[in-house]
Amino acid sequence: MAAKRYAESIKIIDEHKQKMASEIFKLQMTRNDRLSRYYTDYQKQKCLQDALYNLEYISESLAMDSKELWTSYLNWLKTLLITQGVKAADVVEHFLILSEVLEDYLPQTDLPRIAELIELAVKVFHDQEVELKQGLNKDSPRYEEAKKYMNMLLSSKRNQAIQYIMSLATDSQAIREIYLHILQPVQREIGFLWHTNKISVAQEHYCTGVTQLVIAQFYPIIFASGNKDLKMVSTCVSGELHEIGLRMVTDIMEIDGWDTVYLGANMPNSGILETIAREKADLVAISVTYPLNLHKAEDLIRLIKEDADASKAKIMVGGYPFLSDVNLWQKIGADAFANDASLADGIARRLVKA
Amino acid sequence: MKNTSLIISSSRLTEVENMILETLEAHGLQLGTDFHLRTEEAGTVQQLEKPKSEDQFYFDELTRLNNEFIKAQRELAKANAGLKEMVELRNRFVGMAAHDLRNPISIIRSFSEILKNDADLSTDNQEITAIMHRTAIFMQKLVDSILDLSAMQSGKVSLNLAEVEINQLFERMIVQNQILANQHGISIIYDGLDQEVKSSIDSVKIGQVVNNLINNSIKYSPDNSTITCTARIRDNACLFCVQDEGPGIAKEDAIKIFEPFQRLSNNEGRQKSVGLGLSICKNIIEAHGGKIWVNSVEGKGADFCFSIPLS
Repeated sequence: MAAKRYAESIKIIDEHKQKMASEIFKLQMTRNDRLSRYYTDYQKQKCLQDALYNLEYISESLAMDSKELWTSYLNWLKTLLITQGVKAADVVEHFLILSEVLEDYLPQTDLPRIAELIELAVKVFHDQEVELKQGLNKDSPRYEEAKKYMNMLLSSKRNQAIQYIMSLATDSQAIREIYLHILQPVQREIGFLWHTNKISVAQEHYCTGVTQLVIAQFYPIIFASGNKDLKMVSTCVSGELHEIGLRMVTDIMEIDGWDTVYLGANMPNSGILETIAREKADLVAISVTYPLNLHKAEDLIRLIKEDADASKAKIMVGGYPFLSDVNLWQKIGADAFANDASLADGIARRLVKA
Repeated sequence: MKNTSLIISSSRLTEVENMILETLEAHGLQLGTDFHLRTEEAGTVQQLEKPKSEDQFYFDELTRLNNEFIKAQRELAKANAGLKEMVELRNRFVGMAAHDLRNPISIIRSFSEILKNDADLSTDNQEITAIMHRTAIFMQKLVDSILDLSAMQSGKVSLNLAEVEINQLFERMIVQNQILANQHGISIIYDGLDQEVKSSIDSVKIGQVVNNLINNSIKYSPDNSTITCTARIRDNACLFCVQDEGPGIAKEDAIKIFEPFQRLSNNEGRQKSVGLGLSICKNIIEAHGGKIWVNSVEGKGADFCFSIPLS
């Protein structure tokens, strides 16, 4: 489990974050005449909201004792804000004010850590070039097909996109390839396009919706294949709404010989524990996409390990935050981490049979 | 206070609910205003939670429904795969059993045929042997039909396609059935195609379907009635119908009549049926890329039709 070195600071931020965010916003508006005069009400509202998010990410980074998680968030934030025309100097000013406000609230012992986090923020927004990670890669085995599918999605050709993928889905192994080399990279690319302000959130949701429809068409092929020797329950934690990655991993595990029970997004802990015990699962796969849900995954893992029946299952985690800090899975108490859907089966089998 | 879950046995639900109410009241709080008590997982899990905003409530409900929908889709696909496997196993088993029965039945049929004409047997014994012989013939038909259907349902319908003049094929089948119809004073009228139409079909199997439909109509038609056969070309497909004046088919039977071993609720046919003929017809027509159906009002005859695309 992650050492709660900063437990008091985490508690203070969680309890007072609304008030802190408001103070940060007001201070910046007082000091920066340009922002105060020219920002629209909507932009000011976003500023206040961002202050709240930044505090939440600081709290989560302290809870996970992970500077990597914070850096990853900063890089993501920089891409988002800069592509929307926000000036780097204004963001740096914001972080310096945030640091001042935190100094008034947090215990002295934790302030050096806060200083380190703010220093990282200043460095990212001042100096560092952000490396943009696109989803589609020309060297990928199915690049042309992935590009074709994505263009159909972006042109709102839903039926054509579904038909195209289904024409490639000849058997379960072909579906495995489609997941790994077409759907997964296309979903990442769609996320990248939203992140860099090239498509709207509505377009992103539309594309995801079509991919979900495609996935549902695979079921008759996926579930027709062979004997299943091991059982897996897969779930997102409570509050986690990004479930498409979990669906892909669950289906790939089904193709790879697992009897899977998919629970989905935003699951309450009680339901997860009950299902693991009832299904006598060998493995529980927990997906986290939104980094602020990491502490919920940590709570869930603790509950599973404390439960007499559910604790028989091994715990594997996966998702975006675990890629930014390779030790994170151990810090939250998981038994393993799958950094790629294609490796999940091998890792899980070794874990269950150990 | 964070949301708290309690897992309790259903027999203690009321007791625990009362305890929660008392505790909240002791703190000046009210259930329904300050906290909600949510029961889930078939009444065994109680969740004590802070009231949600209306938006959050609907959002959580939508997520839950979406999860349920995806889960149902997956469960359905799994169940379907399981059923397909079972049907495949059943077909294989039935096929094997029918194959093994074929030889002994054939022996009984041959020997009973010899015996029933034996002059040394008493009249009673000759009659018994004749019944045995008729039963053996019926069993042989049944076993052959099961084998046909089993092969077809396992996707093994092999079509021997050849260019055939369709009208001639239909006429031939009608003539073959005319003798049986005449025995009951039934007339068969054929309103055929007014032009020569050739198509690549398996003439033996399509002939089997036409024969089966006309034969069924004769079985269920009253004496001295009329059976009307019609052939038409529609949308580049050949449509063939057999209409009789028999008892018709109840609505509930019309849906399942093409399934194996289905007997009609008003089964008043002249001969005992093995209940596989229409299933075999359906498989043959579908193997040709066509469709087969029945239009009927109970008491007012039946109109069996099939349509096969022309090549």
